[in-house]
Amino acid sequence: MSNLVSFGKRAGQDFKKNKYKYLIVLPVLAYFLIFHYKPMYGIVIAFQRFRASVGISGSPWIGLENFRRFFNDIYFWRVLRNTFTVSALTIVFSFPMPILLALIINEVQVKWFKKTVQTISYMPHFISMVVVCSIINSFCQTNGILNEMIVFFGGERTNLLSEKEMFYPIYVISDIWQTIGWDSIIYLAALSGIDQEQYEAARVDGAGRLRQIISITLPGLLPTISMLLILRLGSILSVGYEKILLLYQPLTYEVADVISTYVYRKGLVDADFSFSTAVGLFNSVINIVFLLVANKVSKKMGQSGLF
Amino acid sequence: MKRKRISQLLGLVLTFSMVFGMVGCGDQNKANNSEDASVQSNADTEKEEESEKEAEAVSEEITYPLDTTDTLTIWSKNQIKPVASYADYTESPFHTGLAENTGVEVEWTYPAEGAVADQAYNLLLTEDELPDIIFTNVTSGEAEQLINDGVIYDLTEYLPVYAPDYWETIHKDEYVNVLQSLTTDSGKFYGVENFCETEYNVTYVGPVIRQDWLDELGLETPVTMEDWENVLVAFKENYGATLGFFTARLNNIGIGSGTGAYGTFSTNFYVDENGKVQLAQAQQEWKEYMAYLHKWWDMGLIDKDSITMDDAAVRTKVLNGEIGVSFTACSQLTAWVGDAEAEGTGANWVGFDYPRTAAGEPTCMIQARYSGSQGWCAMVTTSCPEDKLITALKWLNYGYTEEGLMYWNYGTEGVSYYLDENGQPQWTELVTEDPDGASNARVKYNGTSGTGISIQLAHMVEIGFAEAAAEAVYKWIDNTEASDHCLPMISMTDEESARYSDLMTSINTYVEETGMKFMTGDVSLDDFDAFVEELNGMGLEEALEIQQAAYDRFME
Repeated sequence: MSNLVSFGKRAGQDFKKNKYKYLIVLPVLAYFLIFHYKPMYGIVIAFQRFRASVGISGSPWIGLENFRRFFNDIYFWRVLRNTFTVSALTIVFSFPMPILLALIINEVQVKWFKKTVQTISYMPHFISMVVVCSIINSFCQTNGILNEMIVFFGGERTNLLSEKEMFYPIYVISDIWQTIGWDSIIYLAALSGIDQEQYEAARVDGAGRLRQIISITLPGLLPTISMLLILRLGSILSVGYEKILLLYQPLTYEVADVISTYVYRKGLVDADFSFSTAVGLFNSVINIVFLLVANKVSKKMGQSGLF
Repeated sequence: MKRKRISQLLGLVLTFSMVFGMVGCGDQNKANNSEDASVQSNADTEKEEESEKEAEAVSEEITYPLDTTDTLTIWSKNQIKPVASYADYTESPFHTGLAENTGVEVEWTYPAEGAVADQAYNLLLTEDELPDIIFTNVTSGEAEQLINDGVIYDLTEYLPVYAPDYWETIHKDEYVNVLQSLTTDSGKFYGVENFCETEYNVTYVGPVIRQDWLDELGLETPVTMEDWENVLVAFKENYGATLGFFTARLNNIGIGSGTGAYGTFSTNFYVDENGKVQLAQAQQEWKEYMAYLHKWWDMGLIDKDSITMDDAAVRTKVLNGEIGVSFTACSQLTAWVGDAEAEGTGANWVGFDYPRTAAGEPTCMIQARYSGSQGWCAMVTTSCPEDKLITALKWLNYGYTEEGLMYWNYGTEGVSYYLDENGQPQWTELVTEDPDGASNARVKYNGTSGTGISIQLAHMVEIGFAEAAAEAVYKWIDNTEASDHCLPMISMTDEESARYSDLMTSINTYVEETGMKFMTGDVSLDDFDAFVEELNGMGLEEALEIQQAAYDRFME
């Protein structure tokens, strides 16, 4: 009890001291309440057969029927497996790339070169997904640039996007290209926070560049890396549908069809809001489990967690 | 052509009845219609007598512009939309002209830019206050639900009184098959439907070929699948060109008629000789069809990019002479012809018949069973008060009057169209010389380029295409007995359709995926029986039963 009182007291004092800072937080708080918490009651339609014309209050309740439909679908395991695969591949291959880029940029001493590299590497982030995918598509055509290279090295012309073995490499490599620059910003910011005196001390002790990276830079980045990794694991089932939808076709469904594209096709047929909500809820639950586990593991390993 | 004549005469009769009906009205209306009156005076007297009889029969006379202060709001699912270069409908010649002609101010709204239209429609329905009129595509089953939920008016009693021209249209002989689909299962009329004048309007895809190459090689236009193969081989050897297409164009029927199959990669249901609904992909004919595609794929006769190409990619390959035979839509064919002229490639693309199993056999079904109505309709919501409902219906009726029919299709005479020496409407230079291109310009002045609240005239569609495309359509319409196998627009109950779409999502995916794999050889056709078995395991039989029940109800 005394703990609570003192908390209330402390909070009051803190509020008095920082009232303008609290004022600044207010819009963000309102944003989350209005756009993230209030709509949550809409989750109930996952347990209904929702009809837009009669609304949530008028739609009939059907219990777990929507979940049953999802789990019993013959493609359930396939889309689940593909979603995990795509996610895991991007975590393994795309996630470390911005860290590498940040380390390299950090080592470059020539200022104008550093700036140029940074600017160019940000660019793909600003290209719309549709454009990116149409570029990929034309590269992969039988007369596209990739096939010209394959033929040059004695290979055979194929439409790369219709080969299911090629789907993951195409997806992951283009993902790296798209995200490497933008995602490196946060690491560069973290790098600038490392005390320069440590480097001086290391140099006095005779440490080379590589030794400095391993012993000073990386440990300095580790909290940021673990934090971002936890967040990334918390969205493991949320593979966006835009890119896959634009790149896959029936021949590659086997490896490329993920939960979101499956729901998209299902939703398109009959505007089945209840079903997509049920699937979305399922995704969120799995995501939260991953987030909590990753958080726990990170703390166990002596790294900072989210909470 | 004959049918067009008749409908024009009928329209003339309608005009007369309207004009005569106006005699008793105020001076203002008389002045407005003096132009019409001078036109009719040229017509022969025999017709005039007939029209007088008509005039007596019509119960409620409607004169346009209407004398009303009511304004209407309408939400349209991306149809009847002002072209993108206008800020909104207040700048669009068609929309402002319509308001002027009907005397009713209408506020037009559409799904937000970039929104998925179906989703926007469903979200719209969650609103408390709806626009007066909703123009969208609905099945009669959905409409029944909307009436029961109190969202839209049941128009059964209102239509004959307040929309007499529309009422007359739907009771014409040529639409006798469709009348049933304009009502719900319990016989309620729920909206004012868009119509297509003839099967010409609904036929828009089919096979096309480089006629100049055929001539150079001295080959005949291919008829059977063997002929196709010979031509493809010859094109490949002489020009390095292949059969290339956008799969979405080929998906429905494609060239399956060459083996008697009724579908390509997308699930397609048809009615067999015994009146049983069947899935095209589960038949031996389809297996044969896939065997051809696979053989051609292996021989390199099919462009390997066909799987990922869209219309634009196909168009580029066509321009580069990499494609000799294709399967496409009129709009694309029109573009190809334009490209060939602009670049001087000498390519002469023509449409030709769907393949046949043997010379003299029927070729194909038309894209959709021609029924007049396309399922698009304007429904009046209960947010529209009952006294305003009358204005709404009279306004909706306009597109079915002779005057309104011309306006919805061609715009204003002397502005966007003129009548040629045969009395046929033709676009003026304002449209044909428009810097945005004629097909975009058309949409500025008419409302039936897509679907409108009127009848889309076949002539309007025809004069919009390049000559080659306009002729191609006549090749593709082969309304032989094969079209009896086409499923009509059947309606399912709420429960049926929920179960059906549940089953079909997996089946659609499986068929499309496996169909393409049959073509590329990823799955051997020896596994065809296993494929059919798998389909049955997915609940194909139940889906067929649902379709059958709905079909039987329709046929009753």
